[in-house]
Amino acid sequence: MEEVELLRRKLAREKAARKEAERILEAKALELFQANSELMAIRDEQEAEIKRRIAEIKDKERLYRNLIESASDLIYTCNVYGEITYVNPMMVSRFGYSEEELIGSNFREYIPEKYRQRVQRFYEFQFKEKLQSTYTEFPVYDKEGNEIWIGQNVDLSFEKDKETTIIVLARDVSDRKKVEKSLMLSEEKYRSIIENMELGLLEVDKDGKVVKAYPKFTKLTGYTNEELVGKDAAAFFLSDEELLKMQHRNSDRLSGKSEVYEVKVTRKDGKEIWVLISGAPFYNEKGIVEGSVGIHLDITLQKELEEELRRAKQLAEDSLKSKDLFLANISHEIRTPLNAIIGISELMLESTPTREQKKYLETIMASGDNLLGLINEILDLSKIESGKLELRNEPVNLFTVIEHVHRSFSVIGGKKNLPVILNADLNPQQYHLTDPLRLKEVLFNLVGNAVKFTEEGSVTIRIQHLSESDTHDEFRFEVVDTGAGIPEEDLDDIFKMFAQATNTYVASEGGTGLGLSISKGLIENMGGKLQVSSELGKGSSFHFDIKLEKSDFFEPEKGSSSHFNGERDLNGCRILVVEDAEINRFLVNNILKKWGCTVTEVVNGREAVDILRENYFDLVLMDVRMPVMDGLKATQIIRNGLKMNNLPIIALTANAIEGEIDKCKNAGMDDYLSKPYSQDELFTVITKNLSTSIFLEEKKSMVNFEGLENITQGDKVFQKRMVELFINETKSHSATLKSAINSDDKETIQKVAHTMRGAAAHICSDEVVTRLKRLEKEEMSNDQRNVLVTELLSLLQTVLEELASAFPN
Amino acid sequence: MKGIVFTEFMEMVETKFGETMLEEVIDAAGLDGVYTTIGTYPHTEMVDLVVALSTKSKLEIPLLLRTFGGYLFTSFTKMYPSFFTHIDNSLDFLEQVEGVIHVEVKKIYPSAQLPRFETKRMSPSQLEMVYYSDRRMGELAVGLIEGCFDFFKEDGNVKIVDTANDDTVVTFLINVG
Repeated sequence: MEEVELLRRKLAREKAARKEAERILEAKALELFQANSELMAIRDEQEAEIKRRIAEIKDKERLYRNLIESASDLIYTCNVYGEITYVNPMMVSRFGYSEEELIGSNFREYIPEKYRQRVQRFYEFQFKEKLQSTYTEFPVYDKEGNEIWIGQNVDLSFEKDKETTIIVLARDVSDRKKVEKSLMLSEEKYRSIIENMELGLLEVDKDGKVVKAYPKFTKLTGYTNEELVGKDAAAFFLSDEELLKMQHRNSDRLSGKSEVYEVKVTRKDGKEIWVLISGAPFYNEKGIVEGSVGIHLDITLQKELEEELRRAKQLAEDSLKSKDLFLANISHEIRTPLNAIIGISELMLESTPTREQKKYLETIMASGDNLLGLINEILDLSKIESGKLELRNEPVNLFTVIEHVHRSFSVIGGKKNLPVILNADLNPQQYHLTDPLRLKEVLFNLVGNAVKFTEEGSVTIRIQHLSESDTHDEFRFEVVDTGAGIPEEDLDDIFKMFAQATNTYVASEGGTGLGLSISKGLIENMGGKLQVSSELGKGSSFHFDIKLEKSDFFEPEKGSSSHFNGERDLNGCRILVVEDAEINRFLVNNILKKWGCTVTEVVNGREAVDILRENYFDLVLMDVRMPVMDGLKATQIIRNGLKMNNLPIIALTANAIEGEIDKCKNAGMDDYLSKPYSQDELFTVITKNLSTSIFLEEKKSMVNFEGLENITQGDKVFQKRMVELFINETKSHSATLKSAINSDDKETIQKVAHTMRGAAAHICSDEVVTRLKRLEKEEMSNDQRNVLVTELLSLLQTVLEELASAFPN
Repeated sequence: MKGIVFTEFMEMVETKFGETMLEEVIDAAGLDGVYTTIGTYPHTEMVDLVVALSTKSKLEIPLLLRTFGGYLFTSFTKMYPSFFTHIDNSLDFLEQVEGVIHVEVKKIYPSAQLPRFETKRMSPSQLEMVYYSDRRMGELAVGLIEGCFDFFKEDGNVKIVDTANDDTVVTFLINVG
């Protein structure tokens, strides 16, 4: 190939290559330009983004700064040397230094010398260990030198190639520290108080095992702490009996109750001591009982003292009891002869004595009455003093009571020309529950004194209605006189026993000097207080306020009153007197005979029971205290053994002591009469109790005269014959019955009853016929039968007597 | 295939076989022979050129490729001296062809399709190198490696110890004296 051709081809290739290269470069340049434009656009975008981000960061920084600046916590930063580089306003206000003073100063300067080293070591440790965050508490001084406790969080910012910044967030914890300190002090105080008192502390876990015995406890028991730890405290110290007591208490204690109790503990040296234990549970932080602490006080000495006191008290009570008994006995001993003195004087007064004899008898009776009053009052006082006074609680019309008092003293006052004025704000229809006799006693006493010691002017009885509820009324009872008055210095003494104001009251006026003491005691028993005010020369005023329960009781129609007006007549009444004292038998026999009674006397309970087996009586007067068999025992036999449940038995007791009346009632007696008694009282109690017995039926004839008239068609001769026959037969049958009950001969009794019934049906009353019928047909015990036969015999006796008087000869 | 390979091939043909041979090879390959170093051309054209050269010169294709490899390496050292400044021996250089040089080439020519190499140092003087490329130019790589020995003035040899997948994977064992 031609060289020229070669060159031409090569040149052409070079040219083509150059053009292609230029084309490629141009395309590349365009590509680069476009890429550059895109890059510039991206850069602009990024610049805007950076600006936006910076603004955002600045906003956030401002926000955080505001937060820090307005924070109530103390916030500051330091460099590694402790030099402060930033403080928030709270630091300035709390520390009292200006921002300029604080920045650049070293934080250590503010820490008291005493704490500085500890705090420094603490932070050295944090640096060394590169701990991100720590918390500690220590005090600092503010500008004025006050101590502030702060608790601070320190965060370290370890940044590469940057100085470490210490960021501190602190809080004033002074208040909490103060509380903690005072808590600690008070705990310390109580601990030292308890430890220094003679109190032994023992800490046990919830199983009762000793955790710790404190020094005083070890001294108390003689054991060392080491000897006790881990032991079951209760089992270690207590006897089985005490253990039981403790176990019961311990479970209480663990359930959260704290309490005090006494136990006997055995010391190491074997000596027994008494300790007072106050146990209280203690809790863990979750509020669960972990165990308990027992505080032990040695009370051995007190226990011994207590025992001595108890014995002394027992002695005193015993002697008081013997005093009561003495009083009861002495009153019995005095009452019995007194009964005779008063009773016989009364009888003698009725037996037409001479004028002189009458005067003597009246003096004897008055003296006897006085003596009796004294004994009664002494007994009352004794009861009040020993708290044994029992007040009755029965419906009472206060108006009636007051009127009675007023009426009684109007007469006495009238004799002295002294008006007794009643001023009572009372509803005459209303009843209240109280003890009428006791209330009357107080009023009699107060009004009696007033009338006695007032010569001129008046005595006023005033009752004020103080208040009222649905169930109760409160009244003020007041007795005002215009008498001599009581000197102020004597006012305190007038309620004392035997304390009459002798210089103003005239001794010869009489009285026991016990009245006011008793009245005061009675009022106190009723829930009130007897009070006095007095002005010498002007008069005295006694008053008391009592609250009384209302009663819806209405006054019944006045029936047959026990007050007997006119002639006393108990004609034909058969009375059994059971009394060991001859003089008293004599007295009562005389009185009863005077009233027309048939009296049978026996001297003890045994004889009474024996005679009652065979004889019929309308009523029994039964002494309580008798030899061989006393009245109580006899009554029980009569009621339970003889089954005489309708026979009235009245106790004659000289023993007006507490419980005696109850004993009589429990034994089965119907009523009682306290010796000495008046004729009035005797008559009242007899008629009252006879009212339910056949005594009142006695007025009714036991003979069926009408039936007799009918059967004989008025033929008198026939009647007489028939009566004669009946009398003879009845006498013979009575004898048979008498012997039959002695041998409990049931068949004979039934047969006789059957035989008698035919004739009796025509001649005798229903009372007789019914009993015959029952004896013949009814099943009953021997005792019941015997009682029925006895009653029958008694009735037949009456029938015979009636027939004898109706058909003489 | 990068234009530099073509321009260097043409230069080698012109230098080693003469200007006439170059014109004949271009004609025989049926190409216009216009290449610039900054352009990119189908690698089939290179294959055509090498085949044409083999035909005209009566020399085997592997030999031609190896020869061209040595020529090309020398050109590289001149054109891109910065790759060779911190390295003083061939094995260290070969180990960083894949990790350093090809990474840099990719930055400049993101669309360049480069062969991939794996290396394994068997001993201080021995290196196993595996060539992966669909262009099946393992012989060119051998030439380049031999050029590398020459550049570092080392007495080395390279052996093809294994071929696989129709010559797309070729394993060399390289020893230096």
